[in-house]
Amino acid sequence: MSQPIALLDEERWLRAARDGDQGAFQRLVECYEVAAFNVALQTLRNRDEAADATQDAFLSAYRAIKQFRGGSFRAWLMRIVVNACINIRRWEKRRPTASLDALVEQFGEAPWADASNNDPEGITLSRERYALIQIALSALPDEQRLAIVLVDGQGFSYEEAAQALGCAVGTVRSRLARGRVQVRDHLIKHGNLR
Amino acid sequence: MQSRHLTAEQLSARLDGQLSESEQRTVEAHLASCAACQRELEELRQTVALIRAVPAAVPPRSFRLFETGAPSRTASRPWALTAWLRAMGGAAATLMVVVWAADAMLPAAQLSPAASALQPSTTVSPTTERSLRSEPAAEKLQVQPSAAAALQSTADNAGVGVAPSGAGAPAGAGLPTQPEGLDAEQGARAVRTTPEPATPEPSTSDRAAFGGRREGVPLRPGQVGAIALGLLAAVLLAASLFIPRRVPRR
Repeated sequence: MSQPIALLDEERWLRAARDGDQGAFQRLVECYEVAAFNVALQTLRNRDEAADATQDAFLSAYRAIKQFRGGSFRAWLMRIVVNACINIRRWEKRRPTASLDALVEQFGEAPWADASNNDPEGITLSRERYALIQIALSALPDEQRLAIVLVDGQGFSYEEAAQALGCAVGTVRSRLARGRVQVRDHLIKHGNLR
Repeated sequence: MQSRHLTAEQLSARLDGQLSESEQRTVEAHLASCAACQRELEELRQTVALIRAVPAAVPPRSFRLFETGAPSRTASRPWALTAWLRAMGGAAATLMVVVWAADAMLPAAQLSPAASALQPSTTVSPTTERSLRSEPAAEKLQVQPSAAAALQSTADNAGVGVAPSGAGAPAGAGLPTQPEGLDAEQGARAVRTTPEPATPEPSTSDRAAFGGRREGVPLRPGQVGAIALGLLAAVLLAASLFIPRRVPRR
């Protein structure tokens, strides 16, 4: 899901962006907009709100870029994304439905044959299985779902996820475990795990 | 099965290699002899693999903050400033036309007391007094083309709506599409100045027109205001010409 970029490039763009180079910040946006949007989408589970939150987050990040003090940039950025989601949900309190139609509406038809999809197991999800996982995820408490989205979805380390969520590494570990167990139970219940 | 079963957290962390060393030893020892925990670990492993196989959703749009096609460092700022200067210059020019027209069309009797106090009758020679009163239309025609040209050129760039109420006919006559009502030279000048955005020419011609009228006659407040607005418009438009254009037009 995440696109690894050369860390040297990221370093260079970060330094330039902190010196006010808009083009360099543009590069960073291009690198992380898919990840940021997906984190926002999994948090809010509403396409329009997620787009708004992502845009807000990049604007906030641009304004605050001088305050970035090294470490993992994507963790710093996702913290801003999560906060932008919280800000948006403060105004819009509604529980999204978890039907397949609603999922397709919000997440779009999944790009099944996407070659860029980071899929080490070589698993191609059927449409039904995809929906099953999305429904299981949407039933999770926000903090468990976010831990899964960052670690399993974006390939974050526990440390990065902890930084993005503003909690301890141990908290990430336990939220992740509880969330994964629930998704597993959901899959077993629907006969999708052998 | 010598010890307690492993917790979900231990199994989950083992998948990520996030166990401490001592934990690692305990977990491996238990797994080696517990089929139930082995099965649970395998289920979790499959679950995580499925979650990781979920494709990323495609964003509905790009979230770039700046509207430049190719990233450019100084792209947006000069253009924003230029557009702002032109918009303000256009607004000032519009106001100038409105103020001058209103002032010229008002009979002297309707002037405010403060305004009449500003022009004691002793200092006004009869001829200039007469010219002020009886030739407002000529005055307007002299001023309008350049002002209208300035308006036209700035409105094109800044999107300022040009609607000079009370001066509709002469301002309209300044437009290049309907030059009738103007003499040929004025019409030609209006046409000539229009395509060039924000020429400094209106300012000089305005000043000349105003300067000719100033001698010996105290200006009425409306005229002073119009002159001030005209100068402001000229300064703003001239300033907009000096903003460096580093981005090629698309």
